Amino acid sequence: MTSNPRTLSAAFCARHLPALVDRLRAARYSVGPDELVTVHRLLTRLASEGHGYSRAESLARMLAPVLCKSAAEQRDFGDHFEAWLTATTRARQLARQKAPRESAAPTRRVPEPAPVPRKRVRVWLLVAVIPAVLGLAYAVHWIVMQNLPAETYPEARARVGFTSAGRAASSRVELAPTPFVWTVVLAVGLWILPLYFLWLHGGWLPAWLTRRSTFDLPALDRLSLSGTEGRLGERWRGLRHLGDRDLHADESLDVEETVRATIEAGGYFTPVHGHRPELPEYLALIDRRNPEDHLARFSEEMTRRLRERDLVVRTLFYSGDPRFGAGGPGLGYTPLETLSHRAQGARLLVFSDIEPWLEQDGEPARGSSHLLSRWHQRFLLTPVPLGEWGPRERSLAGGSLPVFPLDDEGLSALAESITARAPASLAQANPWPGSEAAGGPLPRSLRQDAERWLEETSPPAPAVGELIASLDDYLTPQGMLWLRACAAFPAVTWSVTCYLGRELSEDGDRSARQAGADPSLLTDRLLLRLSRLPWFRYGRIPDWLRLELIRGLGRAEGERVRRSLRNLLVQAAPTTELAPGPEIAQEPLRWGRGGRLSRWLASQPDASPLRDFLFLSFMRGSKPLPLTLATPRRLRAWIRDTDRWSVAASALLALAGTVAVGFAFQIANIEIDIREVLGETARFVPTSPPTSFPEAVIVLVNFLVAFLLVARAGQAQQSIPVPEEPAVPALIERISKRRWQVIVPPVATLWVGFFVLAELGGAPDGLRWLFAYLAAALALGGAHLYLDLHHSAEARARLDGIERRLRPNAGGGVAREILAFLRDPAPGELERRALLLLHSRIREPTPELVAELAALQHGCSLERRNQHLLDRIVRTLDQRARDHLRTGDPG
Amino acid sequence: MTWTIYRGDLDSSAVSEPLPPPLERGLEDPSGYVADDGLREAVNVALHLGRPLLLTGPPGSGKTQLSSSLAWELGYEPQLKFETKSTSVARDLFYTYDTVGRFHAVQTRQVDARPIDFLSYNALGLAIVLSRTRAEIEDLLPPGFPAEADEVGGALEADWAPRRSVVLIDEIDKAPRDFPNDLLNEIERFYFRIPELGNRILRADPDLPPIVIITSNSEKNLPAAFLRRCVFYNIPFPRGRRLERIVRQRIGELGEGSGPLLASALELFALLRRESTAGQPPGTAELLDWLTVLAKRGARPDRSLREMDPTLLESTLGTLLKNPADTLRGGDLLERFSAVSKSPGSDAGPRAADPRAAGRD
Repeated sequence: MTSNPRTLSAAFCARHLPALVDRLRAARYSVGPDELVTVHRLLTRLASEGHGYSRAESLARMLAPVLCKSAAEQRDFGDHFEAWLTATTRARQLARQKAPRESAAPTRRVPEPAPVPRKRVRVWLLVAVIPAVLGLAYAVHWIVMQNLPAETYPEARARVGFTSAGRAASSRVELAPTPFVWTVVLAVGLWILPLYFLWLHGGWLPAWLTRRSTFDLPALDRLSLSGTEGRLGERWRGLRHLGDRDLHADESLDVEETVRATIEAGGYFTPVHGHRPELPEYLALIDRRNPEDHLARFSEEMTRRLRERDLVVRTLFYSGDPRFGAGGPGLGYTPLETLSHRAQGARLLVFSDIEPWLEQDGEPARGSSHLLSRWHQRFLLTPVPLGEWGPRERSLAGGSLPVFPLDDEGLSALAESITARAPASLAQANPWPGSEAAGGPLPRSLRQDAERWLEETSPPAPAVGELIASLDDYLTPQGMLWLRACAAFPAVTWSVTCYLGRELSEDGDRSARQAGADPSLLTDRLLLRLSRLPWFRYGRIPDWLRLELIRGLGRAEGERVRRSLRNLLVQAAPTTELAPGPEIAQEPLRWGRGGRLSRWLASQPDASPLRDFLFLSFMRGSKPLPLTLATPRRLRAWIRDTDRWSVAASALLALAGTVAVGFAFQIANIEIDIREVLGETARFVPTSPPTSFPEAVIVLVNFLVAFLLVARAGQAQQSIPVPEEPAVPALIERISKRRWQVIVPPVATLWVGFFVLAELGGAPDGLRWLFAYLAAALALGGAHLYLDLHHSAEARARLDGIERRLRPNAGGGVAREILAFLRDPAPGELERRALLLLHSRIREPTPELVAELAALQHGCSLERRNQHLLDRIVRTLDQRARDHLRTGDPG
Repeated sequence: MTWTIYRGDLDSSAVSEPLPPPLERGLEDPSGYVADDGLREAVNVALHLGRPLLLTGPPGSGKTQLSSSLAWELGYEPQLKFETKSTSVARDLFYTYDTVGRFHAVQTRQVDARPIDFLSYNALGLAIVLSRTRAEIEDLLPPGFPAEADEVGGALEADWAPRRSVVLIDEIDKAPRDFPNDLLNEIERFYFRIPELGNRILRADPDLPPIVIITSNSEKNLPAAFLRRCVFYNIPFPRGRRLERIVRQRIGELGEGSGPLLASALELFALLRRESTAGQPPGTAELLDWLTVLAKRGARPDRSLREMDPTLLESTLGTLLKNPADTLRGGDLLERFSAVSKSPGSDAGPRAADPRAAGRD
C-alpha cells in the first residue's frame, strides 16, 4: 500500500481478501471458494501485467462483478468494501505504529494489545492532578509564610473551600502560622465538591442504548438473526413432490416414436412430437396483513423451500382482498388480471384464510374465484388444519378453488392431485391419521373477533382470564411458553419469534436431549399455530396481554427467557468468556433526578429505548409492575409549560435550589468553631457571620457559583448533538463533549487562584471576583440555556410522545429502538461491532485481529462498560494469539 | 415528406408518395454506446476470466447493445445473437437439426443426403466453429457454410481464419428453468455434443473462446450454479451527465448547441420518470425515441421545449408514457413542467439549468 490510503496494492488485497469474503458471507452474499480463487486469479493477472496498484474505487468495481450475484448485492457492495477497507487500513496503520518497537525484539513475538489512549489519558490526568494539587498547596503555603507580617494577621475570613476578599476588619487577633497539613486539607477539600459531581454525571451513568458514530457498518440483522427460522418445512414430503417435473409437449420430433408410427402407417410419414420434462413454475399469492405477519412469513418460508429446489416461484403479497392486485419487492403493485397474463402457465398457490373467498352466506365468492379461474392449476392453502375444518372450509373445498391445509399432509394431497391431474377435494375428507396435533382448535373468540384482542384497552379481567385459559388449551404448555417469551420482548417480529422458539425448550426434556433429538419449540406445527394468533398476524401484542403473559412465566422459565433475550441482544457471541452479559437493558432514569431527567429527555431519540417498562422490569428480574404509570410531577410541568419563559423559570428554580444548598453549607460552616478543635495555633479563624450584607452575598455567591459551574457542566451533556447546530460556539461544543478536560481545569484554576489571592491578604476587592465568577457562570449557564431553548421544541415534541405513551400504559418505544439497534446500518454499539468481529474472525485470533480490535477501540467513543467489554475481548484474543504462536496450534 | 402520413379521413386517394423509411434511433450504431465505469470494469473482468458476462438492468438500459459495442470495439463483428424463447432448450443455443427434413430425405431415398446436411449452427455453436480452422472440422460443416449461416452471412471467407466471437444470449430469463441448468458445463468449457452425428463433440479452441454476453430482465431468478459461472453486472439507469452524454452520442444533431432543448427535454423526462406510476418508468431507449420524434416534429436544438406548441409536445409523449394512468396525467405534467418556466426570474427552473438532474428520480 502506498502513502495514499485510497490506493491499494494487489498483494495487499490478496492478503486481506478473506476478511472481505467473510464480511460478504456474513451479509448473505453467496461467495464461495470459487469466487475467492477467481479474485486471486484476477489480482495475480493485474500484478503480472504491471498493474500492481489500483485505486480503491477501481478495485471495488473490479471485484463486484465476481462477488455479486444480484442487483441488490451490487448496490450494497460498495458499503461492504468501504467498511472492509477502513478496518483493514486502520489495523495496518496501527501495526505500523507498533512496528518500530517490535523490530527491536530479536524474536518473534505477539504484539501487545494496543493501548487504550483515551482511558490512559484520563488515568494520567487523575494521577497528575493529585500531585499538582499537593504541589500547589505547598507553594501556596510557602508563599503565604514568606509574605505574612510577622506580628499580626488580619482576621481572615476563612471558609471551607472559599475565602472572600481580604478586607481588613477592625478587630485583630494574634495567630500562629497555619500548619502545612491544613493548607493541604483545604486545597484538596476544594476538589471534593466538583469531583463528586463529575463522578455523579460522568461515572455513575448506567449503560444504555446510545448511538454513536462508527466507521464500521455491520449489518448484524443479517448476521445474527438470519436463519433463526431454521429449516422450516424441510422435511415436508409435500414440498418435495411439488417440485416434480411435468411432461410438456415439445416441438421436436420423438424420433423413435415417429419411426414406429411411420412404419405402422405403412411408410406414410407420421410425425410424433416428443415430450420433455420441465420443472413447474409457481405463482404464490400470500395474504399479508402486516410486514411482520407471521403467517405470511411462514408461507414465504414454504415458497423459499420450493425455490431452493430450483423451482421458479414468484411470490407476491396482497392484503385482504387479492382483487385489487398484489405486489412484491421490485415488482410494484400488479392487478391480478395482468398477473394472469404474465404467469398463466404457472401454478397458482394462494396462502390465505378462507374468509376472503366466501360470501356472507358462506358460499364461495364468485368474483374472486372467477378472477383466479384464469389459472388452470390454482390452489388455496389455508392455515386451518383439516381437523378444524368446518362447513365453510368444506364448502369452499368443494368449489372451483381447491383448498388444502398448509401442512405436510395438505401439501402431499395437493401434490398428489397435481400428479393425478384430477382435482382432489378434501370436502369430505377426514383428518389424516396421526395429524391431530396436541392442543385444541383456535379459540372461537379469536376466530370471530380478532380485532377486539388487539386493542390497547384491556378487556374485563374475567375475559382476559378466559382468553389465557383458551390459549393454554390451544397452544399446549410448550406453545404457551413460547408465547409468553414473545410477550416479554417488546415487539412481535418473525426473526425474534423464531429465535426464541429455537432457543427455548420445554422443561424436563433431558431425555430428548440425550437421545439427540431437537427439543426446541421451533417446530412447523407449533409455529403455524402461533402464527394464526391475531397478535402474530398484526405484529403487535397489547401491553395488558403482555403483562398477563409475563406474569404467567414461572421463575425458572422466566430466567430462561431472560437469558435468551440477553443473548439475543448481545448477538449470541460464541463463548461465554467473550460475551459478558449485556448491560444495555438497565433503566437509565430515576424519576426523582431532575438534572438527569432533563438531560435524558433532551438527548433521547423519538423511539426512545428503555421506555418499555414491561421489558425492563422483566429483564431486571423484578416482578412486572402495573402498567399504569403516573406521569412524574416534573415531567408534567415540562409538558404543560411549553414556552421559553417556562424553560427560563425552570432554570431560575434550579438556581434557587442551588442557593438553598449554598446557604445550608454556609450555615453548617458557621456552626463549627475550628478554634475549639485546633486551639490557638489554628491559622484560620472560624467562619463568623458576615458583617455586612454585601459580604454575605459574596460568601453565598462563592458557593453558589462553584456549585452551578459544576452542575451545569454536567448538564451541558445534553447539547451533544451539536453538529446539526452550526451556530453553537465551538467552546460549548467542546464543553459538551469533553467536560472532563474542559471544565475541570478552569474550575480548578479559579478556585485555587481565588484561594491563593485570599490567603495572600492582598486580594482585590471581593466584588471583582464576584463579577468574574458571575461572568464565567453566565457564559456557561447562558450557553446552556441557549441550547435548552434551541432544543426545546424538539424536546417538547418528544415529551408529547412520551406523555401519550405514558397515559394508557408504559409500553411501546423499546421495540422500535431495540430493533433499530439490531438493524440500523450505522449503529455504533460496541457489542455489535465486537460481535461482528467475533463472528467472522474468532477462529483466527491473529495479531492483525487484535490490532483491528484495538483500532476499533481507539476509534470510537465508548461508554465505560462497553469499553470494559472490549478490553476483555482484546485481552482474551491476545492471549489466544500468544498461545497459538507458542504452541503452533492453529485452533 | 410531411409529418402527416395517415389522415384518418377515409380518403385513400390523398396518399401518393411512398412511405418514408422509419426513423433511426441510432441505437444500433455500436460506436455510440456509452458504458459506465462499472460496466467497463465488469466487461474487462469477464474478458480476463473468460467467463460469460450476465447483465441485468431496467429495459432500455443498453444490455443488448453492449455486445454489439464490444464486438465492434474488439473487431469481432458481426456479433452472434441468440434470442431466447419460452420454448428454448439448451441445444438451440448451439445448433438446430431438421429432423423432419431428414425423415423426408430418407423416405424419398435421397441417397446422397448426409446427416450433416440437416444441421445448422446457432450463435454459440457458430462461435465455437469459427474458433477452429476449416480443416479441423471439415466433416462437421453443413454444405455452403459459412455463407449459409444466417448470422455471419457473407461476412466470412469460405476458408476463414480462426477467430473469437462475441455471442449474445438475449433475455435468458424467458427460457424454461432447465435452460440455464443444461448449459453449465457447455458455457464453462465451450463445447457441445451432436447426438445426430453420432455424439460428435465440437470444442472451441482454448485460445479463442467465445465472449459470451447474457442479458436478463430478472423476471425469473437464475439458478445459483449458473450465476456462479458468470460475471455479474446490473446496469443502473444512467444519471446526470452520463445520460446527457448518451443522448449526445446517439442523437448527434440534437447535441450540437443543444443547451435549451436537451436540458429541457431531460428535465421533462426526469419529471415523467419521477411521476410515473408504471412498474417500469420510461428508460433510455424511450428517451431516444422521443427525442427522435421531437426532432422530426420540428424541435430545434437552440429552443427550449417550453417554447414548443404544448399540444404538439403532448402528442409525442406516447413514446414515453406507456401506462394508461400516466397517459391521462400527461397533460397535467406538461402544465407543471411549463409552469416552472413562467415563474419570474427563471427560464427553466433550477432543475432545468442542470442537466444532471435529469437522471435523479
